[in-house]
Amino acid sequence: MEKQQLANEIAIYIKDKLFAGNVPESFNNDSILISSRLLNSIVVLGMVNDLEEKYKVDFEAHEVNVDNFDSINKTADFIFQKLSK
Amino acid sequence: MGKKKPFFIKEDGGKISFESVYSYSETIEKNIQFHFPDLNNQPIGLFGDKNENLIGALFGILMSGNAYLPINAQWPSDRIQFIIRKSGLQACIVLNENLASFKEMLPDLKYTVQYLNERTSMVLFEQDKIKYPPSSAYLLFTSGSTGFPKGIVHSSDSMMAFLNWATSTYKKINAKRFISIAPLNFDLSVFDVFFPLITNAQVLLPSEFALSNTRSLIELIAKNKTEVVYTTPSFLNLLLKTGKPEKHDLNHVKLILIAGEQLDYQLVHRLKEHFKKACFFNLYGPTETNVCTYYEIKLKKEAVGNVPIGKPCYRNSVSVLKSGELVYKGKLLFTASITEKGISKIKKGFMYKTGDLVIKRKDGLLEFSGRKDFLIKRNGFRIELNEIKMALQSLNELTGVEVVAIKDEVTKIICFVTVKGNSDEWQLKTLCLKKLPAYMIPDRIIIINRFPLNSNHKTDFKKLVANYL
Repeated sequence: MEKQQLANEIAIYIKDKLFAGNVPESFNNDSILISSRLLNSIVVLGMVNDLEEKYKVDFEAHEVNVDNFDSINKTADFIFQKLSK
Repeated sequence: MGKKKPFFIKEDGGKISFESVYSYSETIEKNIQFHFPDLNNQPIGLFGDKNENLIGALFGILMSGNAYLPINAQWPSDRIQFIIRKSGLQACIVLNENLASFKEMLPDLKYTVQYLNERTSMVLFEQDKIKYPPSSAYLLFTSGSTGFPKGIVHSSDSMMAFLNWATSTYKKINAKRFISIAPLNFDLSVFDVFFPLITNAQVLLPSEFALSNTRSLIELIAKNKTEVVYTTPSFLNLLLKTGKPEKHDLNHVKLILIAGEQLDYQLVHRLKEHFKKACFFNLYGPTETNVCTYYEIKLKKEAVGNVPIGKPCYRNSVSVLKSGELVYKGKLLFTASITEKGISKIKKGFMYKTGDLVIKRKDGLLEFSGRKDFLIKRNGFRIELNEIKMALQSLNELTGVEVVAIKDEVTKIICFVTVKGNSDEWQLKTLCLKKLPAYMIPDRIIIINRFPLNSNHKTDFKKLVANYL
């Protein structure tokens, strides 16, 4: 899968999860998710699980961190790397 | 350290003996007495990441004859300053690594900073003291129905009454390895911190990262062969769903204590699949009493529905009004509350109406059936919807606010708002963080054109939810 296609898919999934399709104008693929403290761990970890299942990848405990999941783009980069290995 | 028995176990495997913790607590006690020779029975704040130094300072505060007041770094500045003012706080012990962020929280307060040692500093406030009831031990601030946080004061007597009950109930389990999951401002932490201390056991202190990452937390529990876990149904549900417990042998867990929210048998069945040798207890109690009823879960395959909250920890301390409201009277009770109006001490023989509705079953056990007001629980934290409403009403960007809680798999907080200008949901959520702790941030802020009204010209909540959700 192309990286851009992956990023688009992840963006659709996360935006739908957070805003049920009604995406705020100020939210974009670089908006801070975890360290903004606007999302609680139930939401974040639920999304991580869903993405793991969707893309059939296995995230190690230490990989589930702010560096890898703090925005849509960071999430897409990380999953792309995992899929490329 | 050395060969001495460890008390705290750190995430990296580091061990800290009780003697080492005690020695550090003594230095905190002496520092408090040096700076405040006359300070007694007053709250002293605690601010920082929950680690051996912060809990050591907590013991030092108690040793000095004062009460501890945990201040959570996740709270917004306004809330922290409100709590400091309303509790008449004279000092706060702050871990040095958290000092800069604490100072940022105090733009409107006068204070000085006293460096105590390489681990901690003390921030001193210039304000009048408040007279507290005798033997105050700790103050916990929760959400308040008037739109401001509410402080609950417990005495050493009520704390010891809880710990004595816990000792008589759980000593037979002979557990020696505990984990501390709850933050210090959540009353579950009273058990986590003091029960291992009085039973000569050890406590694993996970980092903030592990506490927000269920996979790391399950790994830690497995690696350290933790025997006792005390947390909320929401958190256990999250552990099962996202922590990958199936990857680990968790048969060393002897006891799982569950509190803070309504518990369903379905969750207990799922827990039993992974924690095969554990006993399960459902514990109930508002912050005003800590745990006041309990139920040892005898799990049968066919058990479904709500797990009972059981029977009183102390005989005759709990009664049920005709309305179904649970009332507590006894030695577990708080001694005072603090609101925006000041301190209010309770009188001898006071009966505390919990606001929780219960059903007394034929077998005599109590079962939680709901609330008589708008208080909700999210991951065990109690949240007054009115506090969220008032916080949002104070935002200039909004012209109208209504808040509802929707019980889905987890309880979700949904705000419906009308706005002036072009603010969107993400911007409004960001603004909320200046007014509310992270755990009170609404899951959704839905912008609408106008509120539907009923025949009495009040907001029609049914239509609101039906039209916009």
